[in-house]
Amino acid sequence: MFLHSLEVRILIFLLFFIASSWVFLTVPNLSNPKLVYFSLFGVMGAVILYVGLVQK
Amino acid sequence: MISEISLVLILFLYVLFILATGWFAERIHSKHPSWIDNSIVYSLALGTYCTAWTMFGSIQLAASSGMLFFAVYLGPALGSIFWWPILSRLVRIKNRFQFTSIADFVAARYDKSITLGVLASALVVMGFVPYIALQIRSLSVTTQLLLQDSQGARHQLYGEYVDIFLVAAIILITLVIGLRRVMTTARNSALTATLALESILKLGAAILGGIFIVYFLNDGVGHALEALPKLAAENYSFMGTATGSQLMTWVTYLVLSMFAVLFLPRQFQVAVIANSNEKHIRTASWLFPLFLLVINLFILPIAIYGLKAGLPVSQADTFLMALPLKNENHWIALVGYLGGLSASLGMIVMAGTTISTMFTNQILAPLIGHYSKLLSLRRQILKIRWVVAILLIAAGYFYQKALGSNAVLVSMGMISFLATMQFVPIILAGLFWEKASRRGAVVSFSVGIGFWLFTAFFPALAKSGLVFSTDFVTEGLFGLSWLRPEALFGLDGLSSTAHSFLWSISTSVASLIVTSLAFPPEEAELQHNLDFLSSGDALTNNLSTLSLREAENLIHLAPKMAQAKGLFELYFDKKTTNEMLEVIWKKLNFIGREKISVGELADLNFEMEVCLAGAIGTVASHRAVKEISLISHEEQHQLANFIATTIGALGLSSRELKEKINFHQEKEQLMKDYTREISERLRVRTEELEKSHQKLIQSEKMASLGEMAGGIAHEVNTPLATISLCVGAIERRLTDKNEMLPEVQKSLSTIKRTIERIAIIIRGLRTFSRADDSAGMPFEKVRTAALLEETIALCMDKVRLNDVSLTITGPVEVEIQCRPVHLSQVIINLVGNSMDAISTLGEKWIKIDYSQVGANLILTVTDSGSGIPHDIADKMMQPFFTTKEVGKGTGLGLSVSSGIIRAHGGRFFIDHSCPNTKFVIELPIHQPAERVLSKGL
Repeated sequence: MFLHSLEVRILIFLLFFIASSWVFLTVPNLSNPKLVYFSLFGVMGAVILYVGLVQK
Repeated sequence: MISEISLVLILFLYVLFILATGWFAERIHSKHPSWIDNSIVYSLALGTYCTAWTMFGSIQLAASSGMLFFAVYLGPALGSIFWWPILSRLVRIKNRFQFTSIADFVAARYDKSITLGVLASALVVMGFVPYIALQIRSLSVTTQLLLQDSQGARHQLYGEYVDIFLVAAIILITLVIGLRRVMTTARNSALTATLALESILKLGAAILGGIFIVYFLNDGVGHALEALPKLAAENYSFMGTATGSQLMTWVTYLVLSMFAVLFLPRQFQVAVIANSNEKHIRTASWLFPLFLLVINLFILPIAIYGLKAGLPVSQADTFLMALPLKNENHWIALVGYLGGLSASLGMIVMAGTTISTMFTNQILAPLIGHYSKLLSLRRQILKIRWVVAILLIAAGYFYQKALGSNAVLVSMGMISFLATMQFVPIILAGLFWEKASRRGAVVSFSVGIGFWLFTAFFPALAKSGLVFSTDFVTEGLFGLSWLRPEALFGLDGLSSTAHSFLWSISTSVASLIVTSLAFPPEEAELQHNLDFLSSGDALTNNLSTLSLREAENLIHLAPKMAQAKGLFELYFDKKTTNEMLEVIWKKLNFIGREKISVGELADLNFEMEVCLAGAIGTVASHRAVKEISLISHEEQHQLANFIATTIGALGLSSRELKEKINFHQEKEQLMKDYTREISERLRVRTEELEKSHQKLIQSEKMASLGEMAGGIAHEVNTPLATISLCVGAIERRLTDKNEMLPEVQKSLSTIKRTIERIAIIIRGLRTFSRADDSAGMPFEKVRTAALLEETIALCMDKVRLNDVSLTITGPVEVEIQCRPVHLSQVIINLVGNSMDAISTLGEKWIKIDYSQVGANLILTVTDSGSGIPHDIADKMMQPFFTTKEVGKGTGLGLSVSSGIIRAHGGRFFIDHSCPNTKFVIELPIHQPAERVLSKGL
């Protein structure tokens, strides 16, 4: 039930929101495009896992 | 190259396939509803979010701006964290009020406001007709591409007739599947199934095309990304630098797409209006983002390989087809084309259905109510929707023809998303803030639309050169630089999308809050708002209806039925009218009755309004039902009296009544929470009981074992004593007569040793079984040091023989109340076990330590062994368990010792934290009187 609470949802949302923005903008993506590509897909995958877990 | 004839034939088969799917879905749904009404189909139908822009436009954006395209799909995934609290609420309210579109929802929420309904419909038409044009343009371009040969030459006999055929097919599918009936809230299984199928087709095309381009024509994803830095230097303007404006663009895309996936009119239609079960939202919350993740896997690699192949960035939106075509793989290109067609088709059909419904329900229906000349149109609602849909799609076709490859079309995707954003403040406030007023919503929505028009829509038209001069964008309105639409009030340096987003949303939200607070809803509106919001709660409590049903049945039902029938027949044919009335009569339990109560009449009024809303929208249905005066003036009076009497009987003011309802809802919530807590406690208690039960079983087992051991000991001891006596007698006689032979002497010695061994076992068994009478063995007060010295003296010979160093440490003066013999037995058992265990070790020592801790004596026996594994330690207190060789141990020593210590009220355990083998005995120094006086161990 802890994971379902609105407060935790907001925290998780902010975490992934900031993480994705950070990956996109601050990683030296020209020198390491693989990191950008897989990190962004990783963030999306993590969101899916979280939502799948709380909505089970 | 694929010929025009072949393509037309393929398209013809495709259209037939889609129509057949709709036809079968309708039939399957009537027999097996769950085959269509399930969470998988619902999640896939949401895939209508992915239009031709996903199949083609994303690659264009990836080729020019790197991973920026991904924000359009990551946004919905992030937003899915909140889908359950928002969508489930919307679905519950839809189930109560039966609104037919997003425009109908905002109108219904804000006091059935016609103005809001009209504004919303106008916004949707403005924002989405160009988007339909973009889809048709995309189809046209990809059709031409497919008909080219490898040199780029076009061989067309029928020119643009293929485009016209496609548009005609889309219209046909929209009318046959999307607009098949007038009731838009009724389950359209054909449309849902078709959208789900189209999602599967576009997903398949994206994956197949992606794998072919990335792995068959090129060297995989990793290789593509490695090639990126070189290409980026020439073609990338976005990746590689990080500035505030880029952060704003990224955030804008994330937020826009997060809301667009729910509040784009077509998405709202699928997610809310077409939802058959709110539980489906749970699955869709993760399955739909997963769909988006998979469909986007190859977008960036395809863009990179397209650029690497020397194709221009300006044509990047065709890479999915152009790359296979460049390698003469026409069938793969055809797969990509059909994926794009499925994506466009789904979007256009849904947009056509939604916008035409909005037009009839939010614009035409209120007009019919105002102008009596239009009354004849009431039975033509469905046909009018068909005409509107045809006009919309045709307008899209001519729009794109007029603009050609003009940039305005390309930017229309984001402009439509921005239009959608104008709904967000009034929808979210409408769901969670009861004081959000109609006036606040109208002002907020108008301001938002105004800023959207000025900062996004008009500049796009100006850039197209169709309407305004481009000076409007560069110089500003009336030549005033602070009125430049893309740098309003000097806010410069942002992308046009981020700029428009900031202005429209900030002003819209501010207007809503300020106006709602300045002009709060009046009592009736506030009551409506509360009713609306409470419909979204999981625990809706229709207390008033429950109490009203108790009123006396005084109203004749027949005239009311005639009125209801008359109203419905203005909009539907006789068959549909009868079917709808039958549903209502069944629901209200009116069948076979002649009279109803005034409360039930109010229910009938509500149900008719809701039912009619499914066809003409909530605003028009409210007006239509009101106009027939189903509840007469006198009945209204009766109803008011009855409600007043009911409330009066309760002795409550309206405020108290509201508080009471809130109290009941809170109570239910508390009960729900309490039930959850009780369940958790029950689970913990069940686990504890389970453990106790296991202990009890073990205890009973041990008791039975003890009883059995005692019995065996008794039965064996008597004959053994006889044997022992006889052996002694034989030995004496033979010795006396000097007839003892050495062999006989040896055998007799063996027999005596064996008897001795059996006697030891029997003593152990008797002790274990408590068969030994301890009544005569009282508790005595002894000095611990003396007890230990005397005990150790008994086994010192064996200690020396085994070359073991044994030390005893502890304060001399500690005294303990115990049964000394039994305690000695425990010490001897432990020392004996230790000597056996360390006999093969190089270092052999045993330390006995004791001390007084509070009211207890702590006595430890530690040896130089390296401890006892947990799995053995768990079993070693059980009787007959031994790790010694056969014949060396009885397996009773520790179980007997454990029993003795328990009989002293103490604890006996192994200290696993010690690196050596350490047994701990904890004994009370003083025994309670009842134990001292009790019998036995």
